[in-house]
Amino acid sequence: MPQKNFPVNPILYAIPVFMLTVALEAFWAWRRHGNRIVDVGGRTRPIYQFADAMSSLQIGVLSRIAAAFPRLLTVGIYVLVYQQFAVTSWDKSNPLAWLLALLLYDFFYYWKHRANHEVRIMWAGHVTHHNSEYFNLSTALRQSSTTFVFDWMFYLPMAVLGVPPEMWIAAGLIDLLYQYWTHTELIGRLGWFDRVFVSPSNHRVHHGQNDYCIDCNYGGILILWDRLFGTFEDERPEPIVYGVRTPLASVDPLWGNLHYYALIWRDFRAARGIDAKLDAIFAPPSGWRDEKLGHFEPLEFQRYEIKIGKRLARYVTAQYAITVVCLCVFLYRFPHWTVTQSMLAGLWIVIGLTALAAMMAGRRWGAPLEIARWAAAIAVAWALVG
Amino acid sequence: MTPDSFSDLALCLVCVGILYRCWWLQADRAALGLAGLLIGLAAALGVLRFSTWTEIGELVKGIHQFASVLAAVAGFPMLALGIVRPDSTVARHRAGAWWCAFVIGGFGIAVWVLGFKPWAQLVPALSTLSILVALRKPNAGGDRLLRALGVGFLFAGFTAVVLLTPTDVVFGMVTRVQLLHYALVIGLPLLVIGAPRVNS
Repeated sequence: MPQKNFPVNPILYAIPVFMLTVALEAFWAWRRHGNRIVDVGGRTRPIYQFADAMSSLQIGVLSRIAAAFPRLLTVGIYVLVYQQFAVTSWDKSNPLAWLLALLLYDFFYYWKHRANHEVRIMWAGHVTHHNSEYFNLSTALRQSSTTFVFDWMFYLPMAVLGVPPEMWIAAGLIDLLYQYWTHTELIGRLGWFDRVFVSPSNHRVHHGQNDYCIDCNYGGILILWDRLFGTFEDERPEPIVYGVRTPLASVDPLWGNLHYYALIWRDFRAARGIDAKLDAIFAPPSGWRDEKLGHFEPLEFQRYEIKIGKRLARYVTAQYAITVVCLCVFLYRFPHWTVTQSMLAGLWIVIGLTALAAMMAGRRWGAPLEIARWAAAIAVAWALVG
Repeated sequence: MTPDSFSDLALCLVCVGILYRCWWLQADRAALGLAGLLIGLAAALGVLRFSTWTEIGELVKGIHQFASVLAAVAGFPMLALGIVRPDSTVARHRAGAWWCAFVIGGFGIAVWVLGFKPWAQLVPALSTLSILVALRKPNAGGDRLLRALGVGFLFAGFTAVVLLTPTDVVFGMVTRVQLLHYALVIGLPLLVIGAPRVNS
């Protein structure tokens, strides 16, 4: 069924900017810092690590494909709630209304983000973004493919208050794009700015797993929400160890999205009784407030590292560039394709991402899958054009 | 004050009592407190909507409808959780109860706006049924007689909503919605007072 009258995904226009800025940051990291930064114990570590950055970028591609399908449903629910319950309709010609909508969005984003960290079933989706053990612009693109399941719920009060869907979508886009630049180690502290807005400094703390970094700095644009609700933590001189305490140890984009769900499923099955099963789903990942959080020793942390030869790295990079072009075509054509065509195109890209990740991880089935994917490319293209 | 507004006020006051008892006095009854909050919020908005102040009534109409659906699809499951599984961490911890209600409520609202309106009646009925089924457990604790009476009042209210039409009047003055509200006014405190104690 053709999905006419559905606008092109605005992220499409941001993709070239994302790619360019990631390349620029990597270049700057090499040129200015030799790609090294001070780590715990006075050692140094890379700012960009190839496998990690490539995995983040691949997960980003997967997230855009996964997000395209339920978009109609999640936006549709907002529109329906707006139509049925809105107390009034905000004036779209009033700039102040747009600013207020952004403020409201940022407020609900804070609570959404907080829930993503404090409820296991929501953390299962959001953990994908935190799995990287490095912190650079590629980490910003490492977005989850499954958080759409719960995210829309948090903004329904905006629909009831009368924020038109166009304003809501625009505010969401601004909020998302703003956060991109905060994922970097190359910008230091910014004085007063760090205390009012989300900045690289306070967002580094959010991505850390040092004891003081757990469950804090949830803001999207304004860090004031954290200061208001008691979740703000200022960056300290000690080096931050990025990542999560249940490490992914994989570059597979599918497993990167699903591993925590597998953990929840295992806990759910093992749990005896309804109470324990509810806990498996709704308990905070770091434990209830009356439970003590385990101590993290930064010096003992081992990063997940895989060695990749130069030839393979070049091949993966070239294939990634092709994948990005395919993603742009996918997002551009998505409104015009049938659901079957969209699923076919999406599946072909996802198989490609899986094959490349498998090749990076040294899996024997990686190269055959890659060959099979390219062998099927003509048939897929024919199905899409035909 | 209109009769609709008065029945909402009575329900609202009862819910404030539940909220005070289960959220402030007993910190480990978060699910019950949250049920009181959600049902009470809908009732409070109902007081404004059906008041003689028509401008305010028109303004809060949408929020009241939204809060009513939310109370039905999330408030009643939290009530059932707090009575049937009082020892569960989700029922005891505020954050757990809050996020659990949020997820159930979000999906409930989605199901409702997508066209399956009976969801807002089905969920309270199933929640009350689960309380009834749990009455069979001999070691559940609390006052089973009060809970049984509470369940009876709730089912009486639900039955009135199903069997009567919006224009029907019983006892010469009470509509079906008012009847539901008065059934809740009596039934909810009975359920909360008769709820099993939290053991852990």
